[in-house]
Amino acid sequence: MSWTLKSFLTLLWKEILRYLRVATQTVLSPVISSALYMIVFGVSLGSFLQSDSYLRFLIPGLLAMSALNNALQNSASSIIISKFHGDLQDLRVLPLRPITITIAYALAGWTRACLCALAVFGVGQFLLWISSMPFLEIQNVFGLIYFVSVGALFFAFVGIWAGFWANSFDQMNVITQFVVLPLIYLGGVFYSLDVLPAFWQKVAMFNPLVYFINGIRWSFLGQSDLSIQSCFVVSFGFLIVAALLAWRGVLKGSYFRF
Amino acid sequence: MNQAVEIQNLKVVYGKSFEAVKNLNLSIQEGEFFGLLGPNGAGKTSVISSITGLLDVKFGSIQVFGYPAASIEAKRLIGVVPQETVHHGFFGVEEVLHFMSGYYGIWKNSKRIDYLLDRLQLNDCRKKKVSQLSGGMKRRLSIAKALVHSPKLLLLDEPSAGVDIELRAILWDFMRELNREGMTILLTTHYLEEAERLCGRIAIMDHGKLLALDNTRDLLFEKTQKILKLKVNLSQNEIDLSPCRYPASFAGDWIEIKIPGKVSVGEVLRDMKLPLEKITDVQVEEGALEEAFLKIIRSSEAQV
Repeated sequence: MSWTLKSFLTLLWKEILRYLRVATQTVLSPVISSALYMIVFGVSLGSFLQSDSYLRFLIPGLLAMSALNNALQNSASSIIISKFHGDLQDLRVLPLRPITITIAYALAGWTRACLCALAVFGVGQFLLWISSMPFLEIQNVFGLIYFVSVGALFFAFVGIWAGFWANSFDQMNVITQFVVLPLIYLGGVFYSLDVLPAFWQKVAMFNPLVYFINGIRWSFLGQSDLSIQSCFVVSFGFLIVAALLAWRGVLKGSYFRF
Repeated sequence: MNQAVEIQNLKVVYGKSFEAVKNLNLSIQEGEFFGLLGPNGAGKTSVISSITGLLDVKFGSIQVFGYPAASIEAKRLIGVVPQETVHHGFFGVEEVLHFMSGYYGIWKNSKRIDYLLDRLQLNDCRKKKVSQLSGGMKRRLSIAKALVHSPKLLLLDEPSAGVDIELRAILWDFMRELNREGMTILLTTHYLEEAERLCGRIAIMDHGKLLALDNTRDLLFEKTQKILKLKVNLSQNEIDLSPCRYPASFAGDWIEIKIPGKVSVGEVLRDMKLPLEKITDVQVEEGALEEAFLKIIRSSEAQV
């Protein structure tokens, strides 16, 4: 094995170990929030609406939300905490290429996203079972792997860029609270785009989340608000843009302690 | 002998116009123990950061063993001990050293890690989290991190700050040993007596400019005064100090003469025309690097 691959795998493993060390915050906590959303909106609101299908509609959306949000949080918080601790400077003086750093951080975010997605899926199935509803079946496994992976990598890349751009926890908060969170909540996790007025439907087309969430929902339910072909293509386009942004962040961003 | 570091016309600019380093030209030979000294804000850390790649070299050039600074090839040959210690919040001492080894492509490095933990007296806290270590321990961990891959060039930026005296002595013995084994060492420190004892050559910087660059011995020779003390079996009335060209005075039974470092004791004795059989004792107090350092810095400030 070449030393470049060894150094890449070392960084990847360090990043995975980092979030596993605090799994209560990084994996368990998002799963519990998703479970609460399912109980409050899916089970309670569903029974109020006398509809069994709302929980089934909600689970893929929450799975997407949890996976994508955690992918972003993983890379962004790891980088900003490393800046705070001062060990991010190590990355700059180590023989690691910017591309190696970018991919290692993104893949670590992807693993956390997959772990959260699996856990949310398990909780969703459990809630369906105790509500005496049939289990949610995956209609298209390839589609699910594709959209979860592309979405998670997209958000992990955005998190890398944000981590290198931000020079304080406040700046990081601006990105997560004022940019990412609205995108997530307005991306169709809780509702179908069809219920939006025409103008907002057009605005939603600029939200990358819409394509990822619709793709994931289509993989489970076989139905989507948008053409699935456009979801495949547009989400991949967003991924490329985010990857370039992250790479530039690693190349030009700040490694200094704050 | 090959050059370990070759710096040509290096300029480091912060913001729009603040020049932290101004057209620096410097070369460090392979196997040297080189001291880079200067007051706070002299530009030492900027030079080290430029060599390591922490700062981009925008003006001028730096070669490390023939490779451009910040290239992967150069980075593999360098070990860096930064001025500030870091925390590595989630990990333990031993884990951090294994990660560092891994970044250099070395997965099985337990022997080297054990050796470094032992030499730097970190064995007792190998399982401790880095956040639980004292400042001195963190400093030693920084040194161990820089040495896991046995670099050819070690950059030490104020490595003994916050380290107690006993441990500092152990640390410098270790550094001297590494240098004897062939490792090139570039040291910045505020402890001038350390630099004087360890470094074969010294560069002094201030306000981003190189003010002096010489062998430590020659620097002391040129820039310091030594005190020649003579004990003479004569009363003060019988001694004539006027033939002496340098400031001379009586201090009890002794005559004290301040002479430039480069002037020989024999020359002074000849000038004094003292009967040699009456001189019962001779002592020479050599000048210290601190004196040379202050002289150079002050004369530079006077020119400004």
